Amino acid sequence: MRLRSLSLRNFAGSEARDLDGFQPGLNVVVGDNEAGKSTLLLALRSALFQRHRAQTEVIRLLAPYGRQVRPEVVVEFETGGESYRLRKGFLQKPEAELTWATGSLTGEAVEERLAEIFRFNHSGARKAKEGDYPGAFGLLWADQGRAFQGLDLGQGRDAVAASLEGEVAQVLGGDRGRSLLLLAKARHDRFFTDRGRVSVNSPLKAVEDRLAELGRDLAERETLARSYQDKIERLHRQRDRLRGYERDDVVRAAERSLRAAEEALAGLGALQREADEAKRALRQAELAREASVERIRARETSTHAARRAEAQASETAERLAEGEARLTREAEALTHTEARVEAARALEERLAAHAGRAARRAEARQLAAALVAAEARHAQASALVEKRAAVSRSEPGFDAGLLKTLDALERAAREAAIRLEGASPVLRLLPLDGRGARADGSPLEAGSALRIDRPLRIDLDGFGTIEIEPGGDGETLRREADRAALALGAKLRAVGAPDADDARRRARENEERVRERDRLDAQVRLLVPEGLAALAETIAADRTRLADQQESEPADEDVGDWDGARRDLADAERSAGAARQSVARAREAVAALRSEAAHAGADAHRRAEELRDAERDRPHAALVADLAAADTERAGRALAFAQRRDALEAADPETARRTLESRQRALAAVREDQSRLQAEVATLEGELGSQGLVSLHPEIERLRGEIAAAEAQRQRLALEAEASRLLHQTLADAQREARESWLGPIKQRVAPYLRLLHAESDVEFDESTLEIAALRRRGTEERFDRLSMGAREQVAVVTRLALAEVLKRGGHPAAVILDDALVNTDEVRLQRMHMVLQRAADMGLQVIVLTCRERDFRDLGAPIIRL
Amino acid sequence: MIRFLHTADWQIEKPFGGYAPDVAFALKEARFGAVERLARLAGERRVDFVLVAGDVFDANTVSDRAIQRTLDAMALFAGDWVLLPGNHDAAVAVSVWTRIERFRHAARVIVAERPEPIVLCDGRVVVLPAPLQRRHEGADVTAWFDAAETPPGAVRVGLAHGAVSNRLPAGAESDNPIADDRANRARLDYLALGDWHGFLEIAPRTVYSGTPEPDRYPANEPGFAALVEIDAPGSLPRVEKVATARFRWMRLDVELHGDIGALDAALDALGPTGTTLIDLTLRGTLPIRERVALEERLEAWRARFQDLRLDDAGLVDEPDVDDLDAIDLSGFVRVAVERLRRRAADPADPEREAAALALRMAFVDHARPTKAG
Repeated sequence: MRLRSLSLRNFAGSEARDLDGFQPGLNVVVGDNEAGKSTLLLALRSALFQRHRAQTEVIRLLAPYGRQVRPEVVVEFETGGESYRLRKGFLQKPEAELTWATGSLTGEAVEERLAEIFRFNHSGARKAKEGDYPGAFGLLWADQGRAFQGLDLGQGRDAVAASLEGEVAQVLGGDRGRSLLLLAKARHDRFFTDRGRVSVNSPLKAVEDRLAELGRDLAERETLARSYQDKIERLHRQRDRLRGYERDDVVRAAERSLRAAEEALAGLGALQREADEAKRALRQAELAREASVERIRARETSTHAARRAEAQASETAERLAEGEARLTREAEALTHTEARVEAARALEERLAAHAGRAARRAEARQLAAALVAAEARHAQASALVEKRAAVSRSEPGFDAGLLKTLDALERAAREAAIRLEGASPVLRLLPLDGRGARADGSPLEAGSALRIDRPLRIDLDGFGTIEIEPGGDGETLRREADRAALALGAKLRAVGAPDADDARRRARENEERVRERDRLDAQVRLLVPEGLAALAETIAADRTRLADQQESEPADEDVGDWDGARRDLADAERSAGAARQSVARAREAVAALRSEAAHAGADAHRRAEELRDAERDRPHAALVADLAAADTERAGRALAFAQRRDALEAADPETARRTLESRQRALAAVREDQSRLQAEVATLEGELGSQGLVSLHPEIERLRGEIAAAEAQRQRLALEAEASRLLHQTLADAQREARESWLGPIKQRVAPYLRLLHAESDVEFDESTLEIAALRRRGTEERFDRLSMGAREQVAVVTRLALAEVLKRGGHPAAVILDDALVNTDEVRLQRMHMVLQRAADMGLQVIVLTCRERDFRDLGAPIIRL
Repeated sequence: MIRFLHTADWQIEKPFGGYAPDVAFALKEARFGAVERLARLAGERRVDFVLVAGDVFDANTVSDRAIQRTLDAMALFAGDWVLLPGNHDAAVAVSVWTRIERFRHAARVIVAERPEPIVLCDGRVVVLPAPLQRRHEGADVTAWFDAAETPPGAVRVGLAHGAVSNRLPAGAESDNPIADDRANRARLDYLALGDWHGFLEIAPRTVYSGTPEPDRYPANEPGFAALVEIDAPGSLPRVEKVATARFRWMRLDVELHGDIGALDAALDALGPTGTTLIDLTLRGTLPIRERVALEERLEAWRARFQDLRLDDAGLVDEPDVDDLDAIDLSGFVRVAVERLRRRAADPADPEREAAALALRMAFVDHARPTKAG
C-alpha cells in the first residue's frame, strides 16, 4: 500500500488537518509534541480498520473531549495498482465511502471491501483494546515510543502467517494444527514425560504393575495348589499302602513267620550240644596223645645230650695236654731271644759314643771358617771408616746462609750503582781537530761518554778548564752506592774470600763433602749392621772357643756301622716282645682249657645220672607202648565227632538262624512302616481337611482370566502409548520443519538491514509467537528483552521493514509508519538507521516517519511535511 | 420301563476369570439356575432318577456355600441323584465328596465314589459307575463293567467320565480313556458319559449329555440334557435331547470392506442379545472415518450383549484421501499425516500398527470441537 494523503476533521485534539504529497519512498512528518502526530496514526487506523458504525470505547475517544461533533477522516491510498479514496465519519451520523477509478461503495460494503483489501476480519462485537488492530498492519505501525517492545504483532500474527502463504510452501497449521498438536501432546503426556520417559501416572505402567502383581498372586496360589495336589496324591498312595497292609494282614503274617523260624532253630539245639560234646572228647584224646609223644621226645633228647657231654669231656682233656706242651716250648724260645737282645744293646752303645766325637770335630771346622769371614768384613769396614774421616773436614761459615747474605749485598750494590748511573748526566766532548781534553788529569777520548756523578774538572785545550758538579740527588746516590760496595767488601773479608764467586764455589764444595760422608756412613752400616765394636768382640770370642776345641781328642779310626747296630737291636727287642706275648697267650689258653675240661667232665657225669634215673622210672619201650594206646583213643573220638558234625550240618543251623534274624527285622519294619503310615495319613488328613475350605482353584482360574484380560489391555495400551508418542513426534517434527522453512525468508530479508546496524548479526524469532526472541551478534546470543532500549527499537524497526518487504513481495499491501520510533537512538546509530530507511525505500516500500525532531531526519533527503 | 435324566459337567463355581466381574457373576449364578431347571425338568418328566456323569463341581476346593446351594437346588427333585466324581472333582483322599456328608439338605444324593454297582428302582436298574479317583487316569476305569454281575432282569447302565477313544475330534483331552466298544463289551443298555461339553451320541448306546449351561464359545453343542427311556434290558434306549441353557455363546466372523454396514446386519440377525455372549472376529479393510465410526458402533453393541469379545487383528485401516483431507488439507499437519500414512502402509515398518492407530487418533482429535472453534 502507498498512502497518498490524509485529511481529518474534528478528530481528537485537532479541528482540521490536511496532509498530502506523500511520496512512494521515504516521508518525514514533523510536528512538535502535542501537534497531533499520534492523532494522524489513530485516524489512519480508524479509517482502515474500525467499522464506521461502531460505538466502541476506542471510537468514542476519537471525538474531541466534551464536544458533540462528528470526527471525519479522508484517506487516499494506492494498492494493487488501484487508487482509492476512503472517507469515513464516526459517531454522529456515521458514514463511509470508498471510491476508485471505476467504482465506489458506501456503508457496510466499504468495511467488507477494506477487510478484503487488507486481508483481515473484523473482530466481532468484542471490545477493541489498545494495540488490537487487525490485519498485517499492526506490525508495521509502531506507536509512539513503543518500538522497543518488539514487533507488537497483536492479532496481526495470524495475518502475517496467512500473508506469507505465497512465500513459503509449508505454513503453520493454524488453529486446527495447534489444537491437533495440543491434543496429541495431551495423549502423549498420558504415557510419557516431556523428556520421553514413562510417566508415573501412565495407565500402561499401572496395567503392567497390576500384571506383575497378578502374576505373583497366581504363582503363589499355584504353588499352594501344587502342594495341595501333591499332598492329596500322597495321602492317596499312603492310604492304598495302609489298606494293602490291612488287607494282607502283613503284621500277623510276619509274626507267624518269626515263630516258625524260632521253632526250627530250637530243634537244632540238641544236635549242636552232642556235636560240641564229641568235639570236646576229641580234643582231650588229642591232648593225651600229644603228651605221650612229648614224653618220648624228651627221653630221646636226654639220651643224646648225655652222649654228647661225654664226647665233649674227652676232647677237652686232649686239647689241655696239647696246650701245656706248647707253653713249655714258648718259654724256651723266650730265653733265647732275650740273650740276643743283650748282645745287640752292648754293640749299639759303643758305636753311639764314637759317633758323638765325630760330630764335635765338624763343629770346630765350621767355627774357623766363620771367623775368617768376620775378620774380612771387619777389615773392609775399617777402611771405609778411615775414608770417611778423610772427607769429613769442612770449611766453617761457607754454608747456605752465607750465600744468601752475599746475594742480598750484591743486589743492593748493583741497584745503587744503577740508580747513580741513571741520575748522572752524560758528557761527550767533541773537540776540533787537534784539540784534546783531560779530566782530572787523564785525557778524554773524543766522542766518548763521560758520566757526571761527582764534581769533575775537565781541561780543554785552547779553552781552559771546566768544573762540573752533579746536581740534585747525584751526590746522595753516589754515597749509597759506595756504602753498598763497602758492605759487600766487608762481608767478603770477614769470611776470607777474595770475591763473591770464590765464596760461592767454596760453599758448594762444602755441600759435596757432606753428601760423600753420608754415603760412606751408609756403606759401613750395610756392611756391619751390628756395629764395628760388636763385630770385634764376636771375633775375639770365637777365637777363644776354637782354641778350646782344637786342644781335645784327635780323630779315631772307623769302628763299624752304628745304624746297622741300631737296626739289629730293634729287631731283637721286637722278637723278644713277640716271644713274651706268645708265652702269655699259651698260659691263658692252658688255664681256660683246664676250666673247660673240669666243666665238661661234671656235665657228662650229671647227664649220665639223669638218664639212668629216668630209665629206671619208666623204660623207653614202655613209653612207645603208651603212644600207641593214645593214637587208638584219638582215632575213635575223631570218628564220633565227624558223625555228630555231619548230622548238625545236614540240619543247616546257619540258614535257620539267618531266617530268624530276617523275620525279626521284617516284623519290626512292617510294624514301624504301618505306624508311620498311620501317622502320616492322620497328619495329611488333618492338613487337607483344613486346606480343603480354601477355594484355591477358582482363585487360580480367576487370576488366570484376569491376567489374560490385563495382558490384552496392556497390549492395547502399549500400542496406544506408542501411537500417541508417534503422533505427537510426527506432528511436532513436521511443525518444526514448517517453521524453519517459514521463518527462513524473514530472516533472509532481515539480514541485509541488520548488517547496516551491526556487522555479523542475526535475529532469532520465537517460533510460536513470532516475536523477536534474541539478537545474535558475532555468534553471541542476547535475549531481546535484555538489550538496551535503543538497540531494541532499532532491531524492531529493522524487523518491521523486513516483514513489510516479505509482504510486498507476496503482493500484499505494505507500508511502514514509524511514530517517534527512534527516540532512544544515538547520533551514530541514527545515521545508520537513515541508511536502513533509505534501503527500505529503495526496495519499494513506503516509509512514513512521524517525528518531533526535524533535525534528526533533515539529512535523510526525503520530503518533509510539517504539521 | 425306566426313565432317567442324564446330565454332566455342571462345573459349579467355575470362576470365569477373564470376564468383567458382573459378567462372571452372572455366568456363575447361571450354573445354579441350570441345576434348578434340571431338577424341575426331572420332576415334570417324572424321571426315576438323575445321573450326573462327572464334574459336578469345578474343583474339589469349591466353597461350602456353593455345595450348599447346589444341594438345595437339587432338592427340587425328590428322586435319587447319582453323582459321579470326574476329573475336576475326583474322589481323591480329601475331596468335595468327603466334605459333602457334613451338609444338611433334602436332596437324595448317592455319591458314586467307588467302582461298585448301585442298585436303584428296587433292583430294576443297576448303575455301574467308573469314578475318577485322581484327576488323570491312564487306564480305562470302565474296564470292570465287563465282568460286573447284575441280576438278569435289571437294566445295566454305565456311568463314566472321560474321552471315548478314537471318536472325539483331535485336540480333545486324551486322559481318562474309555473304550469305544465298552457298551457292547459290558452288555450295557446305556453308557452315560461326561467330560465332553457338547451333546453327542458317540457310539451305540453311548452318549455325552454335555453341560447344561455353556461355559465357553463352543465348537460343539452345549446346553442340553439327555432324557433316556429304556423299556427293558437289551432294548434300545430312546434318547431325547432337552435344551437347558440360559445363555447363548456364539462366535461370529464379519468381513468389513469400505464401510461398517455389514456389522449391524450380522448382529441384528442374531436375535435377542441380552443373554448372548459373542466372540466377534472382524476382518477386512476400512478407511479411518469408518474405523472410528466402527468403534462407536461396537460400544453401542457391547452395551446390548451380555459380553462381546473382539478380535480385530484381521481388520486393517486403509486411510484414503478423504480421511487425510478431513484431518487437514495442507500445512504441517498434512505433512505429518502423510508420513504416518506411509508408515502405516509399509509392511516392513515395525511401528506400522502404532502409525495406523496414530492416524485414527488424529482423525478423532480433528473431529473433536476445538477450543478455538
